[in-house]
Amino acid sequence: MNPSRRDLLKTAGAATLSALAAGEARVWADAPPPAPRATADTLIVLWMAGGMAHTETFDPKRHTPFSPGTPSEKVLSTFPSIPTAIDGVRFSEGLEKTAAVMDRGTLIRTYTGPDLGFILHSRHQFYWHTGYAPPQPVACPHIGAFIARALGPKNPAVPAFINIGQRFDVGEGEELKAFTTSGFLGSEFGPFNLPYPEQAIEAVRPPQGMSPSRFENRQKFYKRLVADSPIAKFGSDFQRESLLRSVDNAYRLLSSPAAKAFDLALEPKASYDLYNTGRFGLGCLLARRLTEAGARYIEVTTEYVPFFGWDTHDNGHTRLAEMKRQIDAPIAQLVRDLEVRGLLDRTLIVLASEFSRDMMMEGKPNNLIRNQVTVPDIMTEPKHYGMHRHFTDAGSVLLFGGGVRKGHVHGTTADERPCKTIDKPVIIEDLHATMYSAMGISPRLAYTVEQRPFYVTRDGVGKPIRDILPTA
Amino acid sequence: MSLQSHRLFRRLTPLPLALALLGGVAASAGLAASAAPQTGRAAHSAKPARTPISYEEQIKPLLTARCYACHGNGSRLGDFQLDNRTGLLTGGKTHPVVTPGKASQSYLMRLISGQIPGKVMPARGPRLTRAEVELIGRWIDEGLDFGAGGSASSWRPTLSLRAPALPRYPGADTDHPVDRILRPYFQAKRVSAAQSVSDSTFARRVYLDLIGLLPPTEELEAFLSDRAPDKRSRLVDRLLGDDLRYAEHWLTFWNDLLRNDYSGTGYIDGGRAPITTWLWRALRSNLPYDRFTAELAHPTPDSAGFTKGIVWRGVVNAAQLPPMQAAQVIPQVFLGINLKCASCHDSFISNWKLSDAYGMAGVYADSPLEIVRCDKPTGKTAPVKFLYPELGAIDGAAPREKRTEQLAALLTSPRNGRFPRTLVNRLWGRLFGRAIVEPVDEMDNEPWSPAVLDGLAADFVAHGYDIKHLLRQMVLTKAYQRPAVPQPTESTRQYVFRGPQVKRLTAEQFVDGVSALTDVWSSPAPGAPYVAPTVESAPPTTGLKVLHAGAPLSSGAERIDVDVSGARYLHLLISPVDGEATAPQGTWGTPRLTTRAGQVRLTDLPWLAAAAERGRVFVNRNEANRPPRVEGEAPTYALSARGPSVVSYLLPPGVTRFQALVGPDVRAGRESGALRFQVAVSARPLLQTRAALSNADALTRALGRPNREQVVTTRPPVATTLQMLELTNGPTLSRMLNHGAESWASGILGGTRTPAQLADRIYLSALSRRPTPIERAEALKLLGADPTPTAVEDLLWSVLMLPEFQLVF
Repeated sequence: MNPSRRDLLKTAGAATLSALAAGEARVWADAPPPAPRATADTLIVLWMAGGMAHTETFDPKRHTPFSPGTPSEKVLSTFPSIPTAIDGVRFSEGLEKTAAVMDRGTLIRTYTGPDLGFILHSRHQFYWHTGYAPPQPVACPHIGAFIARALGPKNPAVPAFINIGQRFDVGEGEELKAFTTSGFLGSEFGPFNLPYPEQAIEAVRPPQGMSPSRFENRQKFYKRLVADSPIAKFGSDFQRESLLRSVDNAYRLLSSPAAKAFDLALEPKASYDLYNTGRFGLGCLLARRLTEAGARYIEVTTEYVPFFGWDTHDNGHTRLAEMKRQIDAPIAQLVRDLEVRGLLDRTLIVLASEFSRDMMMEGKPNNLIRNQVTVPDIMTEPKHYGMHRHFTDAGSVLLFGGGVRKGHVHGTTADERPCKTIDKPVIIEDLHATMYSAMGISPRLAYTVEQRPFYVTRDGVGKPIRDILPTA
Repeated sequence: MSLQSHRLFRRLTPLPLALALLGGVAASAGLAASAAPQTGRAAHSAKPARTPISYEEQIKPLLTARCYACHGNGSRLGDFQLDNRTGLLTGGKTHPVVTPGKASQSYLMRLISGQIPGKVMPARGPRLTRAEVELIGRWIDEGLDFGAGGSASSWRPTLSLRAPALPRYPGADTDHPVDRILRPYFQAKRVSAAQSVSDSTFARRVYLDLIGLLPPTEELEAFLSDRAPDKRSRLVDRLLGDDLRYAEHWLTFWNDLLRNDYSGTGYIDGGRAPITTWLWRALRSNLPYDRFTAELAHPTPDSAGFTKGIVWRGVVNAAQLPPMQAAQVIPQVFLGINLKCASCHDSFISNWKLSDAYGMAGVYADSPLEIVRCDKPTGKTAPVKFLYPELGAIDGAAPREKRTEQLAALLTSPRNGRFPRTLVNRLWGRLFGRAIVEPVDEMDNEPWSPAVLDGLAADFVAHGYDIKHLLRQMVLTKAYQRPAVPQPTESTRQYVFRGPQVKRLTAEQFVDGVSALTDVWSSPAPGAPYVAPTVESAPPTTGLKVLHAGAPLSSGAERIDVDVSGARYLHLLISPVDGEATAPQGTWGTPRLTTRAGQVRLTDLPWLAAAAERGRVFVNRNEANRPPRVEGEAPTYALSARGPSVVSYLLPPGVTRFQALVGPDVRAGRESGALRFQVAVSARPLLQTRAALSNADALTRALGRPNREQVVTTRPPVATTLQMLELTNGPTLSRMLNHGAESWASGILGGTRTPAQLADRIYLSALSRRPTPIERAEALKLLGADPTPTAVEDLLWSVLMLPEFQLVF
């Protein structure tokens, strides 16, 4: 991890260094694993919160239209399929724009996660974002925090770990907080939360009601008070120094030109409209602007609220049509905009969800878990029509840019129920290893907690998937 | 960690280090003779006259090169291995091999010196040289020390305390006994004598350390003008005697340590239970620490949440099953032992074994636990036992109740010196910024002063495990009253105590400080140990005026219409008249304000604070998640709560009237009793809730209030950019300052509008001192002749951001 440590020295504020000196988590071992060559400088995770059914999105199967009296078990997909930019690869209807840019990326069809014994979305999301299932004896860091710790910010005026679109005062909010954290790495590497993209600018400008000139004068006054303080004469100590530096950093961030990137009002209307399918779409726009400004890790979520979004316990068909409307245009636009700006090659985009869904099956074919949704044997109403159970034996992940193969499909799923993984299963450790490797971080990099190593992929076992990231 | 990580670990860790750490286990079986009972982390028997042999530097290289190929690293030719102490002591198939302390009687010596023809070791390669044989002989004579991870120190932790209780203080000798112990220490370390800190620095320190608050100006001034020589000890006694504020402050420390919180993971599925009620009572009554611990280990229903653990819905990894969580947190919290590694496999970083962790977990398991090693069931079970069997046994066959009782007795046994020592060390760390043993959860490490640590621990025991007594002992030392020293950035190995280290305000101390300075307080969390204020209990300083004192209502409704012109705070109070446990919920139906612009629904305004002792305050629904009712009707908007409860609002300017239709929410059921609805206004807030009693928010999280999913024993010591960002433009602090500035500028706080006095009072409140002439001049320039709220706000912010405010010197 020597190269990344050098990066840290170059890019991180002195406060970070003081924090390290104060006993924040250090790199484990005297000779850390060599860092792979980075193919991406920025990672964007597009999070389909609540369980995105693969057969309704990026891995369509036989379409069965709704008709009362149809047995539920006949239904594999509720939408017809459409062609994509890759020959022979089809998506579900409603994803035409994303289908058109699929030649820029890789589609994984065989992400398989554990069922963890019982479905609790936030617990599976915890697992996806940290590689560990809670509870754990130490506070597990989010992948964004690991990246922030390993690489530091790309542009010092843009926080290294930005989290867009999730509120925490919702159901399972406490559980969401438990993994949206830097854990034992220390708060310096924690998330910069922007639940409302259109209000993101509020987080990086002077407090509400304070003019820029007053803000500037307040800072000047403060600096004079610091200089006048008798404590200043006690000589230097790094707590004091790091405090003053952090105040300066915060001020710089709040008055930096980079702050403009957070202001969606500055986006030309035509472009704004292309993204504006709702909060997720605007989150993608914000992600693009922040990538241009030099962000390191950005996550944009469709937002997890129990029984909303992708968490379809009923009316799955109707609700998925809406979800696809929300994501299709902004994802495609994000890919295209980054490409036009020459940034796609060094920006890795990963779209994923905690697990998939199925109409009939809860869990895995050989390891069923308790059904959490009642599904009638025979559909009688439109609300029965959709993928309402939680399926963990296959799921789609999309990757664009950042060194991943273009126009590539990884893995195959069965065409009949259970529509499970039949080859090349991708586990979270290897998916993370691929993402970390693209960012120039060894999957075996570890930080010290309580005298033991804590690896960025669980126990250091993650292996980058070379079929997807050829340079790994 | 799983099996894979073992391999990685081996690759990354010098193997012999791990082996060295494994050494010394035999001591716990009493095989080593020693003056003090030893804890089994490592052992040595005799006191060598010469420099002791270093296993790491002298023995290990030799054995690695010549012996381990057959008798180590997993090879056990002749059933013998000598890469760990147990193996050496167990011997081989035919013979015992060594007698610790007696090389001349050891079979190994005869083998390696070639005394038995045909049986010369090493069997391959050249013979050991004479010097090498002698070296091993000396090593055996010295007791087969496998070292402590390469440290040259001869430090060995002991289970019992090594020092007698401190002499009585104050005694004939005016020096505090801890200072007497430290005198030779300072001489040896060439630490020069230091003046005690000033009265104001001392006051700020003890207020923050003992009750978590900045000294209020009036109290500070009284203390400064006091001329009596014993004023510091009287101040300490007064602060420790303030049970309420003491409990409010120490709640934070214990919530972190016992991972208790009002909200968090696990509650969603009943996978967790709070211990707040128990903890609050324990702190208020200064429950002796041995009983405190016993009640956690052998719980009452109120304290059972601690050992219940935290479980999320779904399958739980074997190493995180609730009994295993108890087996991790109890040793960590009370003994400074880390069993987390040993919950999955024999630890690489200590001598604790998987069987030790399972032995502890068995205390809390409802049925015998199968040992699972790295997620693989072994088919075996471990006998139930305490980590230090020398203190006594736990009867694995006894019912759980009995087992936990036995565990509690062993933990708090007078022979268990680690128990008081661990808390003494934690509290020293809190007060002095750095503990005597660091890290505080690794109590096998060497203290910088064993005499101070164990002297205080023995004194703590002698005083009935009285935590307040222990705190008093510490803060009255000259050592505590020395000037603060900066935190060192380098390794702690060469740490020399020179005085307390500069500390950072905790999130709770910071927010409480800002609350005191701005008069904007937190809102209590549902489930917090909160006593709702009543009209009768409100301090006179709030200027409370009752506008509506309703008659007791057991059914029916009452219309309220009162003039609130010019009032600052509005309070809606419900009190059960009698039979409070059975009293119904109360409804504030259609509560509304009349302003110049028309009517405003109170439910559309954020409240300043809301507190209900039992349950919480609900908006537009009641406890049963149904629309609240008054006289059987459901009002279109309403507040609902059980009494005693209070909801407070900061009134917007121009409000003239408050109106509502109120009454008990009576449904067919067991509830009966009358409620009294009262409406009051005041100039100062009625609820002055400390941050420890509220839920974590963006501000306190940014400042380091942890998720209490794990035991937390230290808070981050330095500021970060994300924190300062929250303090620079975060909405919570901005709102507090905005409101506080209005109170200062209007004279409600500080009682003055004169710029110079205003500056003085803000400095006194925030920094416990007056501004210097230069500072005052700067402040006056900012404030101008007629200070505006804006100017005051900028002064407040700037003062709060000073290192002098955020750090404790």
